[in-house]
Amino acid sequence: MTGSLAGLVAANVLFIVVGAELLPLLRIARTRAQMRARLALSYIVGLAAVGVLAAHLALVHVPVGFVELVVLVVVLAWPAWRRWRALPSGPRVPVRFGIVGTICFVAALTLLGHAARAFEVRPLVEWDGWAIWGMKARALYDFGGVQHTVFTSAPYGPLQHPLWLPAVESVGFRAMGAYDGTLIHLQLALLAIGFAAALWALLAERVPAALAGVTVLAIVAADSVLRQLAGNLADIPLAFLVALGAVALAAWVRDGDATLLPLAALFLGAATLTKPEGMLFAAAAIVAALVAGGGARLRGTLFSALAVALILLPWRIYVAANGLKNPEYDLGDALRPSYLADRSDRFRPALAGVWHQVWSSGWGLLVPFALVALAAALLAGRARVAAFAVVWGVLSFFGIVLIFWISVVPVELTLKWAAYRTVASLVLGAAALAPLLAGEAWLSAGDEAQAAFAARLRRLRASRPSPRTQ
Amino acid sequence: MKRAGAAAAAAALLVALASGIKDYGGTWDRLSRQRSEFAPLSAGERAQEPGTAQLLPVDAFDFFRAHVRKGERYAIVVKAGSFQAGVDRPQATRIFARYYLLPAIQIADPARAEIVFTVGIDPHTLGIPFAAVDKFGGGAYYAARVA
Repeated sequence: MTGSLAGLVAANVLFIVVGAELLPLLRIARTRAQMRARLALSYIVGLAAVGVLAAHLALVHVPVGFVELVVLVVVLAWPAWRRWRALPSGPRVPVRFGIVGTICFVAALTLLGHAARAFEVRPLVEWDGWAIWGMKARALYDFGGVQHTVFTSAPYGPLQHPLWLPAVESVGFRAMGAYDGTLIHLQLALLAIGFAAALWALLAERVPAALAGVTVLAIVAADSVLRQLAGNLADIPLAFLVALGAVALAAWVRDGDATLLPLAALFLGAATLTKPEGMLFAAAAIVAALVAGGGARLRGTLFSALAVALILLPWRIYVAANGLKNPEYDLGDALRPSYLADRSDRFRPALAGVWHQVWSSGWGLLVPFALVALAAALLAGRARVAAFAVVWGVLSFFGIVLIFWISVVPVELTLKWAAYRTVASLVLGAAALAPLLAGEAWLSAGDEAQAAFAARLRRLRASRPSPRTQ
Repeated sequence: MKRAGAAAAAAALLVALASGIKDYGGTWDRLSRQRSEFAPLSAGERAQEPGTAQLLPVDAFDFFRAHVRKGERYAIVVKAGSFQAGVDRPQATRIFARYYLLPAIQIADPARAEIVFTVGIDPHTLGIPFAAVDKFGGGAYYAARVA
């Protein structure tokens, strides 16, 4: 049975509306100028929030479809309207436009539009794409929740994978009026477009447009990004959420802009509900913010951490109540030195395997880009964002290595099956942080040049006798 | 140092630009090829593609699917061996059935199932009383409703 394209498009329009309503409600936009500058975040904010809501409601067997989306829009409309009316005009948000950045951004959107055309006819092909993620999404669509043994009995494993992506796709199936494993790929392409728009919006407030534009282009053009996304696996959606959450948190650390905290909490919270590794990347980001932000950012960072934990909590309760175990690894083993020592022979191949995948040509030059940007920030003496990026990157990298170290699956097999995609969040997150790092150096040099120019001008004026005094 | 930082920032921009330009054409072409490959398929062929891509006999699974209703419990008993592509037959059959036969529910024990599917095995040899038995593919596949 084929689904209705119009239904899927309509549901995605409602995601935009929900996101636009949440911008003032979550205090992501605190002035009308900020609201205008951040409207491009609406889609991904709406999608992330609806995905979290749908994943939670699935645990209590409440399905979310088109009607429920309309109800959500209506329920949020009045408080959002009231909040919006109360917003002050505010100073103009300095969104930067430039010819290079705009061309790169439009080129990225053109590529994603081309991807949407390819995705809309692409069936489920990759094994995990249908055997794990497609199966869970279809079961949520068929049963309306997790009441069936599909989500709790071993043959239907892996049971430890949380439900954000299947929940989003099940909303799509309900909006389409049928299970359609082909057309749902369009939802993945729209997710990529939402990511690109959101990353542009977040970066363009802070860095030169050229940096924002080339970053979006470099990420979406990298071979592995759209290739893996097309497979209907959760790794690239996870990477998108992690990257946006890390950028929001790093920008908070840099500027102390508290409007970014709800964004960081929403994206990192959604990441924890997308794959078990989401917890690793979110925890790494929070630790990085605590280290780099110091006492000045402590309270805000802790509030974000609490919000992420609250988003994850219902799923963890469900996992504990049903005794769901990850058959491949138990994170508790990572804290047992004797366990790690017994499996020490896995460390070197795990380290080498993850390192190899980080530098894979499938990611283009994203890793060199991040490293050169980090060097730029360090040379410019911009320690805060650099510290955030280093701590987040190092914790994420060794966290991935640790997962392969403690796994019970033969290390060669698990590296072959999973390493190429597990590193996606690390690579995309690092690339998304790169403009903040390079932008720091760029703008500080610009400030220095401006200050030097102004000082020279002042000296010049002071050295010349005024014509009036002559 | 700040000038060196600005130079490194400019270098970072060039690296990202080079990355985007280098990968753009290849990604565009791959997407074009994908569309050309899959656009001619019918809706039915696209639905079967997860199994077809693994060289599984999807028509047999369509036969199974015609025999189950939403929420029904089924078991699959499969003769050891491999399909033509060398895929382990029992494992591949069970995994694909979990996806393809939804919203019916797979269970391990045939004695607790409402319907039993077999591959390469006559269900009468299972010692379970059946109300009706249908066969497909010259007797390679059976759908047996438990009495």
